[in-house]
Amino acid sequence: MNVNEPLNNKSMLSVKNLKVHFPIRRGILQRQVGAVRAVDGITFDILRGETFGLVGESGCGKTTTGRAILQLYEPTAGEIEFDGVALAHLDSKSMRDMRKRMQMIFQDPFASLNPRLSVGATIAEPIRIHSTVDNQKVQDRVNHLLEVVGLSPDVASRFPHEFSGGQRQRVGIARALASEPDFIVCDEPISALDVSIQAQVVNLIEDLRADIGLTYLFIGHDLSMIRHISDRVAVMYLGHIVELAETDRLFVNALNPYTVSLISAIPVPDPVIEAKRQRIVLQGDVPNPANPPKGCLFSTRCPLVVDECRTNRPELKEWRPGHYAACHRIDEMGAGKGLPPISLQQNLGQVSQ
Amino acid sequence: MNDVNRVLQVDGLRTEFHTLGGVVRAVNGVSFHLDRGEVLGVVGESGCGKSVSVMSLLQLIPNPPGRIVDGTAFLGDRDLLAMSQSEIRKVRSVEIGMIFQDPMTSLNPVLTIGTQIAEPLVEHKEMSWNEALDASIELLDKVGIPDAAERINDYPHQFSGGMRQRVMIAIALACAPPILIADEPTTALDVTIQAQILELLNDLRHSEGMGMILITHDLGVIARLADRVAVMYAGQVVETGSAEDVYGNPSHPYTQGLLESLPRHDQEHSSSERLTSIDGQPPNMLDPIAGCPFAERCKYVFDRCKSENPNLFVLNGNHSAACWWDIENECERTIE
Repeated sequence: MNVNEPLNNKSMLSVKNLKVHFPIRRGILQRQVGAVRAVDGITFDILRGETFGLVGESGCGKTTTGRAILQLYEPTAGEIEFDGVALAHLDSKSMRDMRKRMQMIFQDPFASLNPRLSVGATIAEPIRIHSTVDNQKVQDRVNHLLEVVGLSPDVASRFPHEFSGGQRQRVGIARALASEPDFIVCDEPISALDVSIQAQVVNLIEDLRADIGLTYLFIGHDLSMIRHISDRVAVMYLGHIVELAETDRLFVNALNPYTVSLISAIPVPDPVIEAKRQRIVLQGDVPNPANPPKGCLFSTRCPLVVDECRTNRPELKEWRPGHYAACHRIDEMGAGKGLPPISLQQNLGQVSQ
Repeated sequence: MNDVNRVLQVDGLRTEFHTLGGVVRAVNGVSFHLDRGEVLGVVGESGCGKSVSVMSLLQLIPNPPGRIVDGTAFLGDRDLLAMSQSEIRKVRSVEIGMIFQDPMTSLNPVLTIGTQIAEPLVEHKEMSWNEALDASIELLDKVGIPDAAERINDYPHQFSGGMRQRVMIAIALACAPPILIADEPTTALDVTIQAQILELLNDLRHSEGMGMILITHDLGVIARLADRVAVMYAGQVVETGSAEDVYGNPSHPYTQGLLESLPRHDQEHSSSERLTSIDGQPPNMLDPIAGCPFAERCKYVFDRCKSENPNLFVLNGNHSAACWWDIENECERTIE
C-alpha cells in the first residue's frame, strides 16, 4: 500500500468565490435584518487523490463549506465544480447521479445513524437508491463493506445502540462508501471519539484513500491530526480562508499571524517541550460573523496589527508557489526571507526551526 | 500523611453505581494525593472514572444510584467521605473550589454573575452583600474580565464561552480555597480560548499557591500544566508519577499506547506513516473483570494478567505503574 502515489495534478473539485449567508429575520413580518456570513467568498481546488485539510475554530465556516460543496446548503453565491461539472446548474436527476460520487462522514456517530435501522439496512440504503441490483448482491456488498471497515459481517442485523462510538463511526464510513464515491467530506470524523479510538479510525480513513483511491476534504479543529492526515491545509477564520499551503510548509513557515497563533495555542503532549515553549495567547474572542470587523478580520486580535489592517481587508495572495496568505504584514512575517521574523519565531518555539 | 505539604490524601476509593443493568464499579480502588501548590493531572478516556473520583471526594455523587463503598479522603486530618452534609457543604468552595466542563450549564441562568460570585462570600465568609459584591469585582478583575464593575450585573448568557469559564473560575476562587478541582475546564472551548484559560490557571496557581487537580482527556493540556500525572483506565490508576517520568518514560502499556497514538503538530509526518493505535476498546464496566482491565488490549499480555489485577508497583521514586510485567520481570518488555 503506497499512499505516496503521484498525484496527477488534476483538480477534482474547484470552489470559486463561494458564499453561504444565513439570513437573520426579526419582527412579525420576519423581515431580513442582516445575514450571518458563515462563508464569505472562498476559493480553492482539491486535487484528485489528495487529502485537503480545512481547519479553524468553531463558527469559522468550515462545516458550512463542506455542506455547501455537497449542495446540502444552497450557496448564496459562487461556483462549485466537481470533475469539471458545475453543480449549481444540474437538474435533480443529474445531481442525484453526481451525489453518488460525493459522500460525507459526519462528526457525531450517535446522531448520524438512524436508531431504527439495523446497521445492514443503513449501509444497504445507498446501494439500493443508486443501483438496481438484486437482494443477494446488496447483501454481499453490505458484508463486504463491513469487512472493509473492520467489522464482522455478523453485525449487519444489529442496531446502532449496540455499538460503541468508534464502531458506529466505522458504520458511518461504510455507509459513505456504499455508493462507491470518489470524494468524501470528512466533517470532524474523530472529534467525538476517545483518544485511543481516534487513531484506529484515522488509520482506516487513510487506508481507504490508498486502497480505493479516494479524495478527501478533511474538516477538523485538531491541528495535530490535520497535520498528520493532510497533503494541503487551508485555515479559515470568520468565513474566509486566511492561509493555504502544503501541510509542512504551513506548520513550519506560516505567513499569517492567525495561523501562527493557532499553532502556538495547541499544547504539545510533552512536558519538557511545553515548559520551554513560548506561546502567543490571543486576547479576546472571535468577532460575531453577523457583524465582522471592517478591515482585516483578524485585526481585533492580531499581535501585529497596524492602522492599515483596521481599514483595508487584505486579499488572499500567492506569496510562494502554492502558499497563499491574506495579511498586510507579510513582510513582517518574512515572505521572501523564508523565515518568520525573530519576534514571532521565538514565540513559535519548537514549531519553527 | 506525615508530609507537611500534603493537603489531600485519598486511599482506596471505591464508588459504585447500581443500575438496572447491574453494578458499575466506576472507581475501583483509587489512591492519590495532592501537595500544596502542585498540579495533579488526572488523564483518561471517557468512562474511566476520573470525574467520578473527584466528585466522590466532595460527596457530589447522586445516591441512588451512586454509592461510595470504600476509601478515605483526608483533607488535613478530616475525612471528607465521613463528613455530614453541612460539613461537606462548607468544604466545597471554602476549602475546595470546583470548575466544570460546560460553563453554561454550571452557572445559574437567572442570577446575575455578581450574585453568583458573591453568594459563597456571604454564606461562608460572613460578608454583607455590598462587601461581597465589591469583592466580586476584584475577583472578576483577577480572572481577566474587562469592565468588571459593570459586568457584575450581567447574566451568564451575555458572556461568551471563554468569559463564562472565567466567571466559573472567579466563583471557585471566591473563598480563596487551597485546592481547586478543574474537571475538563477547556474541553468545550476553542483552542485560542483554551490557551487563555490555561494561561490564567497557570498564573493563579503561582500567585495564589493553590493545589490543583486537573482532570482532562487531553494529554497536551496535562503536559502544559501538571507537575504530577495519574493515568486512569477502567476505574483504576494504572500509572502515576512526575509529568517528566510519565511522558518521558511511560511504563504502563496503556500510557505508552496513548502517547504513541497521538499525532504531533510540532513534528513532520510523512503521509505514508500510520498512527500506532491501541486495538480494541475499553471494557464494559458492567462486566466483572477478573484480571488486569487492560489485558484484552495489551500486546504484552500473559497468563497472570487474565486472572489477577495488578496493584501499583513502584518503579523508582514516585513513579509507579500497575503492570504484572514490571512486577514479574526485571527486563524490558518484548513480544515473543
